[in-house]
Amino acid sequence: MEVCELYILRREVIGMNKALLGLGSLILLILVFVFLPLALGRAQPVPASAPIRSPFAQVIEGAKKEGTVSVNLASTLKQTSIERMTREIKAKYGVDLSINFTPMSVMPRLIAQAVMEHKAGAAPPYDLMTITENEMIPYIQAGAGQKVDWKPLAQEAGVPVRAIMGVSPELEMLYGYGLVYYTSHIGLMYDPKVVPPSEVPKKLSDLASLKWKGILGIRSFTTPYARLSYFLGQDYILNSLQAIMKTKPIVDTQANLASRFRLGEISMSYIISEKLGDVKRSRPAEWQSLEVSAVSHFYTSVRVGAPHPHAAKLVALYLASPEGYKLMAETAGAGNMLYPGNSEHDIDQQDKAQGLRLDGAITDERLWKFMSSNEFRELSKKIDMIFKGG
Amino acid sequence: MTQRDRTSNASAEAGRGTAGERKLVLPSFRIWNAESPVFVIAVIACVIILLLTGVVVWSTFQLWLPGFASSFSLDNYLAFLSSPFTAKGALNTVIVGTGTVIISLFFAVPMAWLIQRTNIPCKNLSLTLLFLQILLPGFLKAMGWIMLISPKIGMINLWIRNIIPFETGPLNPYNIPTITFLQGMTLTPVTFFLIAGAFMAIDPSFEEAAQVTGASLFQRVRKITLPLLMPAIGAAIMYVFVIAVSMFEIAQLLGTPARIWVFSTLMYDNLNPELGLPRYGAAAVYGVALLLPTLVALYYYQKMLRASYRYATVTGKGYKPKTVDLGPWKWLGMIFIGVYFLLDILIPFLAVLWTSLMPHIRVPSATALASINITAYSSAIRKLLYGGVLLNTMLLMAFVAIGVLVISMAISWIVLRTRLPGRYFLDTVAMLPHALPRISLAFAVLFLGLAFYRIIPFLHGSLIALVIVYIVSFVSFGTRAINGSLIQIHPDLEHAVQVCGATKMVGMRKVVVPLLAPTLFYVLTWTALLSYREVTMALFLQSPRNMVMSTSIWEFWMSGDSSAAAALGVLMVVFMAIVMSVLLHFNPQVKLRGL
Repeated sequence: MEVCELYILRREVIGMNKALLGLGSLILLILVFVFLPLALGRAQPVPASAPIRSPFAQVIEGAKKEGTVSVNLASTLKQTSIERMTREIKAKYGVDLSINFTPMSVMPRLIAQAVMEHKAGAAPPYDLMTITENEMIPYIQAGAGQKVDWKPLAQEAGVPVRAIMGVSPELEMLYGYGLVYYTSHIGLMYDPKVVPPSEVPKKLSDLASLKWKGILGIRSFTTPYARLSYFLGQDYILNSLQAIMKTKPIVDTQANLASRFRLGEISMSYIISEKLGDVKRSRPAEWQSLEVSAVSHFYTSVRVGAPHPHAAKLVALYLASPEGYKLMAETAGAGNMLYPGNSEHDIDQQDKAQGLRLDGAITDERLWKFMSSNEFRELSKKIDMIFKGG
Repeated sequence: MTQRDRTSNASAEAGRGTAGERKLVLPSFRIWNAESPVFVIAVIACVIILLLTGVVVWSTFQLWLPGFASSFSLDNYLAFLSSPFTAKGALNTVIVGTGTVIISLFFAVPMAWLIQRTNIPCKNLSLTLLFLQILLPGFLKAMGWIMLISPKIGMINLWIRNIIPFETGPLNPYNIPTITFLQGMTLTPVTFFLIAGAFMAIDPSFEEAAQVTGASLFQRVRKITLPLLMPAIGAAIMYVFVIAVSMFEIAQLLGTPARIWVFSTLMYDNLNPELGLPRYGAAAVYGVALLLPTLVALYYYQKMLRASYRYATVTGKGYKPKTVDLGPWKWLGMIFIGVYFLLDILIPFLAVLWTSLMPHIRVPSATALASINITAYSSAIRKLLYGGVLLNTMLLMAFVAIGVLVISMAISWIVLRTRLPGRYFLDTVAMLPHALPRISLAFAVLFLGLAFYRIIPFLHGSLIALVIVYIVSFVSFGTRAINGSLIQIHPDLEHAVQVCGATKMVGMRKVVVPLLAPTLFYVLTWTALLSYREVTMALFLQSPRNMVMSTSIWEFWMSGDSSAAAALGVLMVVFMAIVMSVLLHFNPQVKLRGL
C-alpha cells in the first residue's frame, strides 16, 4: 500500500512545476526517511528490484491466499464435475481451491437478488455467477458485476479473446463483465426418424404447416421470438406465431419440452440446443436453426464485493479455457461454439454453411439497444398474448 | 336448538355463569404468569406474519424491484385488471379450486372415518402411505400420468387402441377435469390430516345414543358425526381451496398444452421473465386477489369458532374413544382406500421408481427394461452428502415442525380458550400467509433480510431465513388442524383441573395436550414433510449455506436429469417410510387412540 502511495506521490512530484520541485523533493525525502519507516513498522521493505508480477500471476497468488470460492454455475454441472474442476485447477495453476458450488436456478431471480444485495451493501453469497445477454442489463446497470480487465488474463490463461464480453468495439461498454463458458443456440430439435431431414422446416413460418400438428412443441418464453424480429420483422414473427398456434402445439418450458421429447410425446421442438446432447442419449435428435443463427452466451461474472475475487477470476478463466470447455462438454453436456468438436460448434458451422445470419447480441450494438428498448418489451407482450390464446 | 345443543350451551354458560367459576377463567392481573409465554409466542409470531404480509402488500404497489429499483404505482393492479386472461384465469382457478376441494373431501372424509373410527385393518399402513404421498415430487407424478394417458404415447391409451382403433387417445390428460382430479387426489392427505384429529375426538356416546333410538349407520354419520365435524371440515375446505388455486406443477404440465390458464400459471410468467427482472409486485397481486375470498371464508369459519361450545364433544362425562365394528363392510372400506392408494400413490410411485432406474425418462416397455441401472442413485446420494444438504434438510424439518406446533398451539389456545379482546384477529393473522403466494413471502423475507442486513447480517442466505418463512407459511395449517380438534374438547375438563388448584397451563399440559395428541402428531409430522417438500421458497432463498433436498430434486429435474430427481424422491420415500413406521409403531399416545 505504502509503495503505491509513494509511486503516486512520485508521479505527482514529476508533474509539479519547477517552483514547487524543491518543496516536493523535501516532502518526499521526509516521507521516505522519516515517516515511512514509522508507518511500515515491522514490515519488510520491498526490494527495489522486485519483479512486477503479471496480472495472471497476481490472480493465482490471490486465489492461493483465498483458498475458497462460492460459485453459481450451470445446473447441469454435477458433483463429479466440481471435483474434476478442483483437480484440474490444482494441476494447471497449482491452486488448491475449495469450490462451493450452487446450481443456477432461475436466472432472472438470481439477477434480481444480486441487484438487491448490491444496493443493500450485503456481501454476495456467490463470488462468481452466471449471466446471459437477456438478463444482464439490470445487473450491469446496478453495478453488481465487477469490471475485470480480462484481456491480459485471458492471453496468459489460453482463453480465446472472443470469449470476453464486450471485445467488439461497438459494445466496449460491456467489456470486462464476463467470460463465455458455454453457449446455446435456439432452434429446432427434431427426431430424424419422424421428421425426414429433407422435409425439416427451415423457416419459422414452416412450423405452421398442418404436417406437424400433434408433434410440435415450442418454448413458452417470448425473448427468442422477439430477438428474431430484429432480423425478420415484427409482422412476420407475429403472423407466423399466430399461424403456428392454430396447429395447437405444446407450449411449455424448456425442461418440460425436453422431457416430452424424450418420452416421444413430441418429435419436434423449438428449444435451446443445450438440451440436444442430453436428449440424443435417449432418442435420435438433430438440429436445424430457423432463418437466423440465434445464440445465447452464458458468461461467468465476478460479483462486486465478492469475498474471494481472485479465486472467482481463476475459476472463470479455467471455465473459458480449453480444459474448462472440455469439462462443460463432457460432464455437463454444454458445448461452446468457440471450440471445435462439440455440438455447439457443429451447429455454428451448419448455420454458416446454410448462410444463416448470426444473431450476435454481444457484437451488434443496434440489436443490443433493441433488446433494451420498450419496443422489445411490447413485442414480447404481444407474443405472450398469442401463446396464451389471446 | 336440539336438546344436545341446549345441554352443551347450558354447560358452557354454567362454565362462565357463577361468580366462583368466573374467577377460574378470568386472566390473572399479574404482568407475568404461567400463561404469559403462550401470549408472547403468539404475539411475536403474529407480528412477524403481519410484517411479512405488509411487505407483500406494499410490493404490489411497487413497479419492478420493490425497494431497490421501483416507485409507487398502481400499474400492477391495472395490468392485472386489464389483462384479457385475468377473468378467464379466475374462472378456471375457481373451477379447479372447487373441484379439487370436492375430490379431496370425497376421498378424505370417508378415509378419515374409516381409519379413525372403524375397525378397518391395516391402519398403520394406510397412515404411513398417506404421509408418504407428499414426498413424491409433483412434476414427476404429473409426468407419470402423462406416461399413462397422454393421447399419443400414454400406455393405457396404447392398450385401448390395441383393442379399439382410435386415431389418438381416447384418454386425454390435458383438460380441467384431469387437473382437478389429480390435484384433488394430491391434496387428499392434507384434508385427511386436517379432519382426522377431529374425527378421533368425537365422543362415541352421541352416536350410540342415536343408535339406541334406531338410527342407521348412514343416518348417524349424516346427522351426528358430520355436523360435529363442521369446524374441521370448514377449515379443511378453506385451507385446501387456497392450496388448490396456487398449485403449479399439475396445472403447468397438463393445463398449458391445452391453453388452460389458472392464476398459478399466469403468476409464473411474472416471476420468470426471460428479459429483465422478475415482477414480484405483479405476482403478489394474484395473492392479494386471493386474500379477499379467504377473508370472507374466514369470517364464516370464525363464526363457527365463536359458537365453539356447540362442537365440544369431549367432556368430563366418560369420554372414551370407541371404534365402530363394520363387520364384512370393512372390506368395502378397504377397497375404497385401496383405490385411492392405487391411483395417487402406487401408480405415481411406480412411475417415479421406473424413471429413477432409467438413464433418461422413458415410457415403460420391454425394450426399455434392458436399460435399467442404478446410476441415478449414485448421483442422488452424492448430492445428499454435498454441502450439508441432508443436515440442512433434517434441521429445517425439525425446527419448522416444532415451531409451527408451538405457535399454532399458542394461537389456537388464545382463540378458543381465552376471552382476550381481539383474539379472533390472531386467528385471521395466522391464516393470512396461506392466501399469499409463497414466493411473495420468500421475497418479503429476502427484502427484510437485506433491509436489516447491517443489524442482523446472519439472516440473509441462512437456514434461519428458511425456517422463518416456512413457519409463517405453515402456521395456518397448524392452527386449522388444532382449532378443529381443540374446539371439541370441552373447557370443563380444564376447569376441573383448575378447581383442584392447578393453573391453566397445567390443565393444558395434563388434559388438553394428551387429548390432542393425535392432532399434534399429525401437525408435527405433516409440517415436517411439508418442509421437506417445499421448493418454491427454498429455491428463492437459496444460498451456499442453506441448500436442501427439495431444491436438489428440482435442479435435477430442470437440468434434464429426471432420473436423479426421481432417485432422490424414491430415497426420501423409503427413508420416511421407515421413520413413519417406527413412529406409528412406538408412539403410545397415537396407538392408544386406535391408529
